[in-house]
Amino acid sequence: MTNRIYYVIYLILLASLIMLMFGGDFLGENIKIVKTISYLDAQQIIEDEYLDYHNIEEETPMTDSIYTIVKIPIKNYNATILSVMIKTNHTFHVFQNNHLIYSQLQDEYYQGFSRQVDTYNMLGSESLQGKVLHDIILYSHDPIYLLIKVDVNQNIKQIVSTPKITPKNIQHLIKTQIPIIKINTHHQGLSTKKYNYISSEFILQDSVYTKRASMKIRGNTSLSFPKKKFNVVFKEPGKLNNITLKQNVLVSAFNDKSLMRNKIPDALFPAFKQSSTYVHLIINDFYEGLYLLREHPETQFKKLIKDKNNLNFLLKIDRGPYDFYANSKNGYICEYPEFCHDEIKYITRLFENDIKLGGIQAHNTFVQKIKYIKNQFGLDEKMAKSIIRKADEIMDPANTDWLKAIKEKARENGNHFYHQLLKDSHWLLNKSKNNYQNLHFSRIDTTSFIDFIVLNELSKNIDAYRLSSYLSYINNQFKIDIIWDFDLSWGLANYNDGFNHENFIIESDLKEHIPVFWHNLWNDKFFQEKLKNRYQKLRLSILSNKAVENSINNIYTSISPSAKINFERWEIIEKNIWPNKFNFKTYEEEIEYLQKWSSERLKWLDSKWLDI
Amino acid sequence: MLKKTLLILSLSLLFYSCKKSIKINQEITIEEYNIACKDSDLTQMFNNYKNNDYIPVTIEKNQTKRNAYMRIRGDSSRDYDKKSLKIKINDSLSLNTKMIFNFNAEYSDKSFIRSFLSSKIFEKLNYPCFSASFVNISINNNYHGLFVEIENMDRDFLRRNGLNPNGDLFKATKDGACLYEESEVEEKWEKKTNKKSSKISLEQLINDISKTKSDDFYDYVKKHFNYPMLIDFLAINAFIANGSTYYHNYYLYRDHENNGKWILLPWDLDKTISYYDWKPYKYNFTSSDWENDNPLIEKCFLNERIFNDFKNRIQFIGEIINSDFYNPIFQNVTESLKKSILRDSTNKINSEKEWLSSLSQDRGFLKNRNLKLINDIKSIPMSFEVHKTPSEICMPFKIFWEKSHNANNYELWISQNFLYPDSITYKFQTTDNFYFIKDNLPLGKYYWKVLAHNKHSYTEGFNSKNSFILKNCTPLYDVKNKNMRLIKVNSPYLVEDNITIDANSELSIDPGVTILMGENTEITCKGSFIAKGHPNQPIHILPKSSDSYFNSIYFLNSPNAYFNHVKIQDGLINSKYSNLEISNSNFVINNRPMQIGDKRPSIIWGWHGQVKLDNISLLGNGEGEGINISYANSKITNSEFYYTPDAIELINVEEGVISNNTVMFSPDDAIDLNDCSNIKIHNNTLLKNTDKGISIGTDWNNKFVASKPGFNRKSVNIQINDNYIIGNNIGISIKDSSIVEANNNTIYFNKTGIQLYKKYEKYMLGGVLHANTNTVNQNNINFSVDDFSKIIGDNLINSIYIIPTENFFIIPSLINYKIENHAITIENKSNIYFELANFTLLDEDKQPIFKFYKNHTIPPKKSLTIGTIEEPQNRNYFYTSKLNFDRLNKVYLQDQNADIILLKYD
Repeated sequence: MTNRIYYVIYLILLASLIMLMFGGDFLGENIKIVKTISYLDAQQIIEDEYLDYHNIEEETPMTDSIYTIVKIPIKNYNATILSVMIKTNHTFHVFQNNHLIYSQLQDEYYQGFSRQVDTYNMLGSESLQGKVLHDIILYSHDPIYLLIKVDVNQNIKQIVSTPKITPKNIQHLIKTQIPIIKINTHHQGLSTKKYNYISSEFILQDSVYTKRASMKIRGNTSLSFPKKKFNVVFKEPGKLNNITLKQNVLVSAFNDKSLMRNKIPDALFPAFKQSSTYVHLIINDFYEGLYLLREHPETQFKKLIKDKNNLNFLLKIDRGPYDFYANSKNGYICEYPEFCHDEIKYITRLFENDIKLGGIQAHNTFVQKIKYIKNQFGLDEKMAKSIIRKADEIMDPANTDWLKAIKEKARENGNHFYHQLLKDSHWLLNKSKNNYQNLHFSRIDTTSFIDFIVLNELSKNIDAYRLSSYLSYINNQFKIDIIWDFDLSWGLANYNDGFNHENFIIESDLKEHIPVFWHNLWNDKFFQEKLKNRYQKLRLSILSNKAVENSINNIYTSISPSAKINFERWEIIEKNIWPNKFNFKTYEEEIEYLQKWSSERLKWLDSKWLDI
Repeated sequence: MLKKTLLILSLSLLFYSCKKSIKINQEITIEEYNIACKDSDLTQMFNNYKNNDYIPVTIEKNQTKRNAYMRIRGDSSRDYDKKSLKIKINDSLSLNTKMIFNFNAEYSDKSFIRSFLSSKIFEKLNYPCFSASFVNISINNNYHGLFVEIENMDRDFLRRNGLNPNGDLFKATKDGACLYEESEVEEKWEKKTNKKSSKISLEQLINDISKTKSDDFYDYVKKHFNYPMLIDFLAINAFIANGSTYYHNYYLYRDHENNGKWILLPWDLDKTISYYDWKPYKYNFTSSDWENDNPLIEKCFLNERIFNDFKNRIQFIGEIINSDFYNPIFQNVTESLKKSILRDSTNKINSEKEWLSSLSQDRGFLKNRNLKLINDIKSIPMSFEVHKTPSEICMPFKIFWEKSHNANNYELWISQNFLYPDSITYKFQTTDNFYFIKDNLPLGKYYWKVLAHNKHSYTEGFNSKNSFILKNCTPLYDVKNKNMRLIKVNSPYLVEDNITIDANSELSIDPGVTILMGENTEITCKGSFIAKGHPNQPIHILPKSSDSYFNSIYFLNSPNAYFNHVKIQDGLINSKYSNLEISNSNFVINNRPMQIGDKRPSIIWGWHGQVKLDNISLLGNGEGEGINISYANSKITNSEFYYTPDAIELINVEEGVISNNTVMFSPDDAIDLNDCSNIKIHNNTLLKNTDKGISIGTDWNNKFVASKPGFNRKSVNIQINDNYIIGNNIGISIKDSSIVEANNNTIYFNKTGIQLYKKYEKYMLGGVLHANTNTVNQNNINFSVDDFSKIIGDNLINSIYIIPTENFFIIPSLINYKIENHAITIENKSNIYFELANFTLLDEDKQPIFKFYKNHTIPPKKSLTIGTIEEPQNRNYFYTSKLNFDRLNKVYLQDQNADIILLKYD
């Protein structure tokens, strides 16, 4: 009899436990479509900010997608906020008691806020399915209704679900001895387009301090990853482990399961004076993972400028719109200075001409631009839209203002600057003859160019030379001071031969996408000679087998406990994450592979560069 | 085994349950600040506590020190022994992200918790509210007292609450900031952001609230306020019994760069929770005893839909703000604050027992608060509206109000003191919703209010600060064979019964005179009638009682019916065989019946004689007609017509001019000509009228007209030139043999631009239009011409550019600009409101120089100025530091579709 009672209690407790652990998922069962409506009705509802779905006619889908009204009941009667996971790239509007209470426009994330002190939340795996958390403020406990455009063939639960949230004590993170940065976005969210105000709290072993800042989501390809990269601008100066807190980047490297591919170059090449530090990132009380905090290239560049009266600028080589329609040319973007003037257009156009789309004016409508691209290049609508969006981003006045600043500096300093700059620019763009001679005339800092090549070839960075490569122009000289973005290096990528420890990137299939001046350098035998000499020296010091091995081991030791927490948030170990060639079963195996690949790469480079 | 498993499971469950609960910050910590300054400065500051002079100080917290300035803050609280302090850091670095500190003494709060707890309630309900925390202040290392640090309301506050920091933040700084009248804006409201730009958006808000009827208030607030947040604000304030807001102690915020919707924000929450238990607190008491009621809040409570949402929200708040929420706060406060409370000798709290008793009272207040509040709402009489009297009245008079739903009886209070002291207040009881004052009251200025009573309580009607001047009325009787002059000193004049001015008499009326008309009374004038007011002293002709109307002033064979600067309310003008001339006057119809059976009376009706109307304004109620003139040569110029069906209708008129008029929102036609000839219609703006902009033809349905001998049965020699006819059902309609010449008209966004047709079978022809250089574009159908009609001439399709905006249209060709005194002035030369939101001004290189937002609307014939001078230049002045005048040889306007128009230099 007693056992029977125990058994009943056992069953009740078991059921309660399951309910508690998977409560969110049970709630998910209650999410259901109540109506599909026409585009016109949906537009009217959005304009009126009022939804009374009973009085709207049901619409049969005529196209692939349709506006859908999804009902989500509120089960927790103590709640003032409902957390919902919703697939990205879906614009939606939320109504309660008929009134609009929340809107999600595209490119806005993290619209919640922070209110917890000693705890943080760990989110389940929904975000790996491309869903983003939304905290919706409730005005009653009546159901909420989502107006969302969905694909008719898609199950609504693939788009909308309630999240599994596990609270954790923040002491778990403090114990790892890695600093914690807690971000509060104050309901504003973070966008890919502009900086938004945030508060940041730094939690260290022995102190806590706060800073006002602004933040935006960063990146191109990485935007599609659930673990985002961020730009942060701190309003008040400070330092964190020798990192100047001013204009910084939080590097996520979602697909780098070693979590150290961007850190290794800093450790190996102190000549580049790169500094970075690992941090745990929490946004609006949710753990976002282990990040690398770096100084923004512009901050790094500004630190290099000794004489501010000179003409200094930082040029970033990055893809331009021409990439989209397979033109071999590349884009050049001026990262610094930010504000400029326009009489120096002749020079700056040399850099800029590749990102201008002839015939398109800024004031043309989106539709006009698409039409132009379709007619001009014979592309389909989807591709045309993609190009226009990219072109708009690049052609934004904020991006072209640098022209004006250069001109202003020019005026102040006299024309002789321009003659030199013009020469250098011609050389960079392969528009002057006799490059080798110009190389000397142009006073290029060849050592930094060589180190840059050694590092990128050693790591076999498949994005090297053509993406996120920074040329600084200081004291009438082009130099490479800043190294950036090693996400797809050290044998990670399953394409462009990235995983193979043999072959040079600069000679790979990507070579046509690499600006010509790199090839001019590479093919110059005097330059090659210098390169090999430099490599030989480096192999005896910072690139010795032991030095490389120690660097990796040291990083592993310092982040290993934090990496485990990171992979609780991002359950990607063993999973096939693009573009990893290999998917190892444990984090340790990832590190072993990194060690082994580096060793083999060095051997191969030795066979090419140590044969003199 | 089973027991063991059970034990493990129980423990897991317990552990998991603990993990699952998210800890919200309810711990009470008391921060320590030390302020250092010269003793002499400190003494000076406390001696001159009413001044806002800052003294130099340093402020230190956790060994971080900043240079700053300090002053006494607050309003009435400055007189208390313990003063509130304001400190502004003047270093570039903040102290814990803050640059400004408000340390509130909380002298009047014996529990010391009300501001803190109220702000926590707003926070819990996710409503933007200043943060509040407890701090110990030392001055020159001597303990000064326990204070509540209140977050400053500034751009950082907006940022921290997810609001656009570029939005306009207005503070209700002084008592009387009730949103009641535009004149309060300059004196009682302070702009906390965009300080150098005008406050015109707040003036507009007050004006709109005043004009919007409570029945239409839901639609109004839905469009102009963040509705869920408005309901939240009303409900939370009611929940915490905040009786010290709506006339001061609140903020208004508007993100004009985005949706432009208003949000109310709380301030000074120390007089909340149980503070007003002595009174007690009433949710629908929206002001103080000495100020006007707040019409925004009153009209929300008067509107059934908003009121229901408000009640539902209180229910929700009660579910959230329950003992699980407030008990830990009370417990933490009791534990954490005790030491400081007892240490602080400057408080009003005399003992621990007194403090704990006050805390207990506050806690008791919150217990089942939502149920108590809902019960209060159900039991006390509902809000109701009272109707203003004329500003001058005489005995006997009637006061009228709407019914309060659950009131048993009403009490009318009339007093010469606005605080209604018993000794000099007349109190009248009634169960009706009106009261006739027949007793003789002394003459003079009176305030009055109405209280609705039931067995539980009472409610004051909106507004509780009405006034009138009680005078001896001068009765008006028939005027026979004499000239009579109405003078101001004898005003008001009273027409109790119909009167007649005979053909041998003249009635002249001086500026500032009021004529009160008995219900449905009429003045018949066969002689002369000369009402010559002045812009500053208009003549008023209106019903004696606010719920009433008068029939008309009827001119029969009058040689001279003259009105200048006259305001006429709820009555008509009829003119037969008379010379009627009305200028600079306006007509408002509220109560006058305008649909009697199938008859539609006109506000101004003329039959033979002459009619001349210049610069008049007609505001109808959507029924009846506007102006209807038959057989009288007519001139209607420079006038405005809103909500008046067939705003200007001429029948059988042989000579007339209709020019420079604006007709909007007519439920029928704007201009309607039947059987007329030799009429010039030019330079009119006819916008958003339900049927036709201009209708030319005949009216066979009107038997009265059609059966008359000499009936022309068509309109001829009609010239329609230079009119803007936009957004109507049909722009110009010509029918049944009528012949029209039309040039230079702009006909846009109508369903049909020009319609020519034969309506009645008896006719041979439809409409004939001789037309050149009209611009007919963007209509659903530009031309609709049937087989019996024709257009002679060429009409342009696309030469003038008109842009639709949210409520109106923009006609760029009617925008001029000029540049002077470091400012660019944009002038609207049209008769339409130009809403410039999302438009951009461009310089000669077509680079953006100024982006317009929702604050930037230019009324008809007015201008808007954007400049770099930091002192506001005029009411519609907007400051920007970024405006560069170097490249303004040409100025372009770019619309939402990025189309660019060159503006004209004035």
